[in-house]
Amino acid sequence: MSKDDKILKEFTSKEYEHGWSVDFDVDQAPKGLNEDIIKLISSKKEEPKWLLDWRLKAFEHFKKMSEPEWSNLNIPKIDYQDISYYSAPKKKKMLKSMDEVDPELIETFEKLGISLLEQKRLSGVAVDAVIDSVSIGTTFKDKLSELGIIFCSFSEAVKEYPELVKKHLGKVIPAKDNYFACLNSAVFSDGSFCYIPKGVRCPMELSTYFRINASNTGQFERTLIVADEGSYVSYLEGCTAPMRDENQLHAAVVEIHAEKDAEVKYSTVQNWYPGDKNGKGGIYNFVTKRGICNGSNSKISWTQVETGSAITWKYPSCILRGDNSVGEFYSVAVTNNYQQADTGTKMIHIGKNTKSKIISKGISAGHSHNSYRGHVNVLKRAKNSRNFSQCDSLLLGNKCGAHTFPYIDIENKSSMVEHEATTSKIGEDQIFYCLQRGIDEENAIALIVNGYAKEVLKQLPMEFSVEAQKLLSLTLEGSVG
Amino acid sequence: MLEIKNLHASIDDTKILKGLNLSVSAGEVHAIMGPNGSGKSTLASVIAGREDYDVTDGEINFGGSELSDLGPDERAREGIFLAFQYPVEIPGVSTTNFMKTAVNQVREANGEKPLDAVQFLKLMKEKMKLVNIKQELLSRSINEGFSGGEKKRNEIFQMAMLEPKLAILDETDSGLDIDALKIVSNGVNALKSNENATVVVTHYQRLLDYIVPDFVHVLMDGKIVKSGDKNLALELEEKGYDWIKVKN
Amino acid sequence: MIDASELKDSVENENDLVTKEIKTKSLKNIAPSFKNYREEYKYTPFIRRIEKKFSSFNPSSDIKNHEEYRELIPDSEKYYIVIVNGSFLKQISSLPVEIEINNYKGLTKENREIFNSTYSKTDDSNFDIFSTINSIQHQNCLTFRINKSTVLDGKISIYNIVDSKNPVYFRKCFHIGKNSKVSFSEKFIYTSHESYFSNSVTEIFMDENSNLNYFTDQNINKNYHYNSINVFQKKDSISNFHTYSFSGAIIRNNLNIKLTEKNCYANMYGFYAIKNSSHIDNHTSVDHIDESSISNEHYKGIVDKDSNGVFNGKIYVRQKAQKTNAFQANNNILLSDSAKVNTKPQLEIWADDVKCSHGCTVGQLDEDALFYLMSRGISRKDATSLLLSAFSTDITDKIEDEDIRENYELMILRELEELNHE
Repeated sequence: MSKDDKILKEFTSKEYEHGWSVDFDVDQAPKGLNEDIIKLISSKKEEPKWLLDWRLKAFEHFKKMSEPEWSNLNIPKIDYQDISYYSAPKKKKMLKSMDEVDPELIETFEKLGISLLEQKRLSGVAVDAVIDSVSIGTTFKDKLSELGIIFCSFSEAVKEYPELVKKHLGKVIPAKDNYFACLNSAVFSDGSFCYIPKGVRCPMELSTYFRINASNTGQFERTLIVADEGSYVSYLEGCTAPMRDENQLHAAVVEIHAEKDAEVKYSTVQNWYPGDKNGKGGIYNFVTKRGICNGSNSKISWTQVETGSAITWKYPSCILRGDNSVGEFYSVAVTNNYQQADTGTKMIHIGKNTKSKIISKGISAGHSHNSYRGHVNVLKRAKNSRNFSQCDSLLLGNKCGAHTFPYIDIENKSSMVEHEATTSKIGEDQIFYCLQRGIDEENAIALIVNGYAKEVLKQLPMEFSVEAQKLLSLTLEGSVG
Repeated sequence: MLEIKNLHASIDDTKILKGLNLSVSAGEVHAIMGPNGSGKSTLASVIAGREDYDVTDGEINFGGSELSDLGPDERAREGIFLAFQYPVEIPGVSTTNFMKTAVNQVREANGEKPLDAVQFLKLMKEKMKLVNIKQELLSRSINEGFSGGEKKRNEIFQMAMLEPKLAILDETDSGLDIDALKIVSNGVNALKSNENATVVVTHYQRLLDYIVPDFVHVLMDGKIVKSGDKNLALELEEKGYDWIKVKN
Repeated sequence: MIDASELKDSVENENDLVTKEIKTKSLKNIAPSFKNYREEYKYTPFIRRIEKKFSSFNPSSDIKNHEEYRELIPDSEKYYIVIVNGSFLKQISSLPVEIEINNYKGLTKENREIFNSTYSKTDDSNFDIFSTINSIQHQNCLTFRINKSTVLDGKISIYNIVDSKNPVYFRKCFHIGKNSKVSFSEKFIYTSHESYFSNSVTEIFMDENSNLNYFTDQNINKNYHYNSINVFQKKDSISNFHTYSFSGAIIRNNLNIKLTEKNCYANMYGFYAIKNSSHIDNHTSVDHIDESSISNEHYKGIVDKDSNGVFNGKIYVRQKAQKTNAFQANNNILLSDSAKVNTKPQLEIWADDVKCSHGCTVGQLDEDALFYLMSRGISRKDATSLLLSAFSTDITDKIEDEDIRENYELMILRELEELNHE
């Protein structure tokens, strides 16, 4: 086989590793968006009335809203009536333990590289897996509950801890916040809930894996994390979806509350199906993520590696309300073929001595477009606040685009804000140096790109970091040469 | 081992090499000397396969096969190593990671099994001693923030790791103080064997006190104008390159 | 507030055929350009603010006795052009022979040709509503023709005088010939301290290998001002723009440069030092269309009291524009807790072999430096002055001509002293 053939073969075979679908016995709602569907979702989940009312109120508002147009994305018209808003693997009964989980499901997760059973044995990561719209199983529950940590599916939380959910739901991201968050508020089906009590340091990484499996469905999960005073948690989120010709909608919401002295680290490796080489199919990933540093000295840190989705629209943000609170955003976004990404963050400084840091690395290849959009706002009260932002773009090839839109609004004289951005390409001398040592071009680019993104990758927990590096190389395969 | 015949090469339509001949056998050390702009670095780059240069005529034969169809990575896997005059910085990529990728790709191409982490570490420790390089340096981004001497030592370290058949040292002495020069030369000498060959490209004779050549060639205006033994280098040092110009 | 019938009347009443065509086209652009208003005027509520002051967008053309205006020109000026309420007063201007300055409507057919590809063809009237309105409401377009290989030492000053309660429209078109070199310095002088509004749109065509220095200074108290400069550069041309702003109820500057051919060089420098309730908004864009061009932008500002500084810089690098080098920086010093800075440096890049970077900072005077100076016996006030003027020198240092540089250095020094005085 010649060198070119080999690369080609490798590329096509690796195009999208997680692109298979499994036929479960699925319980799926009819297509369409209306009050009846919302009532159906709510009754399937056996929800209390207050939550149904909350959903219906969000839906009332949603009907009056229109899709946002300000992003640098070309979003084809989405028919919201042509989507099924609820899909769950059929459950014969309530599961009591992992052993009762459908073996086919477990196999699905093993294909994803997450073995739920394995997780039970290995110490390290507790997993909540959400397939289509429903949380499948949460590992390590017992061990966590000894510490008073609640880590369960959202629907379970609604039943078991209604007061905690009611107190925090929609407080950082109100139902009316934006079009997609509003849609989610009306139709969200499941997700993860996490509560870390006062003074507890969560001893392991908590993790949620999301997967869209059924076709013609959207996924609308909701994650709520509450870190009480002086607590700490590191949370991971991974996503995949099968290859399908049509586009699928994913509109999730993640809300984080960090109380006094609490710290939350939220990491995402997003690998939804990006569509094929000609831009057909792929997930529309419209996600609203926001955290509030409520108490003083609290900290929220977002790390994201975005390699998948046909369209990504997300801005994990921090509201720094408590004095001395800290917000961080580390991002690598890679786009290839016809992918589009418009991502970044908002850092809203309200409290005194608040600090934020933004490190964003965009990499565009093929015909893709990659935009950074950020907002740093230091309000009058936020005396002595600091922000540092570094937003770099790397272009591979001359049919792609890189865009940077930072908004910086400063309203007091004692604060300091610095923003830097560069756009460049991989140096030919760097590639030649690698080639001269016997490394082929694909590997040379993977090496250089991973080096470029290192500052962000090193923020990820170990297991994730390795996976993320692999994903970066996979996404860019076939993009050069 | 290396057979260059009537080599012509140009960059952006400027002719640089104009009919160069050179023959290097295993076990030999050759020095290529010449004034600035004579084409020394071009020759090193052309052998390594840098695509900026157009080879317009002639051939380069290495170990029995013609090189012109091979890319730089394939040449490297055939056993050609270039120690760069200006080693390149690659932010975020450690020398260790870089070398691990390179060594295993070369092994793979030669039908050998890739080294696992433990084997690789062992090999690295062994080679580090040769050039007196510290682990800490190898964990840092390659060449980023390295001093001139550290960069050159890192080049020789990589050479030791890859064990090439033919090593080309492009102005390896430039920017080195005497101590660094000794360390670098010791490394090169330790790697010398009957199986491999070394081509030293240099402007000054100084390096040749430490890496003693079997042959010295003078490159001027794209051709080798004079060849001899190590005494030629001494003579050049004393009389300058004009001496050859006058004679011609 | 934008009264459609009023604008339609302006188009109807236009007698000149070419101008009428421009106005008709611009009328159609009202809706599309207004669409951009929300984002482009995010921090500058321009329409809302002037809505209260003006009942109509109709221009004024009343002009008083010329002598009154002549007195506004300092004796030191050698060459100057006086424009009052949009009308060029040739009688009281002093023109170098090398440059032809005429109203477009007064040009012969042959001379019009030169400006036809520029006049309202390269402006932003399909993008910014104020330029659209200017295109409809302006009465005269003043044309500047610099013949090829004309090299002029020193500068030509342009005095734009606003002496009317009604909005005033300035419109200019420059044709800078091949291999020529020329410098202009433009001023806006308001005869009242508040509430006047002028709207100025300028289009500049720069032919091959031409060289232009263009200075603008704005110190207009509580008046309103919109200024849009649009530049179209051909190969090997060099442009240097300097914009200095010191006061204004609202000043909005658009500076749009298109580098349409190879090896163009564009420098954009700005400095603002504002206080009270001044609001200065600089929106710049540089569009790299062809390869191997360089753009360099640096804006610095000191924002005090209740003032607001807004900066938006866009760099576009098109697919064909390989080997582009684009640099942009915006630095701000905030001197008060009620002052605000809104900055948005923006990059949009479609070519891979480019070097682009931008940076911006918002901060305060370096307390350590201040302390260091004071420890050497310098008073806090003087130390502050020293540091503030040091902050401005990066910008003025870029002025090539010594006399011009000295002139602006002194102007800035005076303003900074005043800033520091209160």
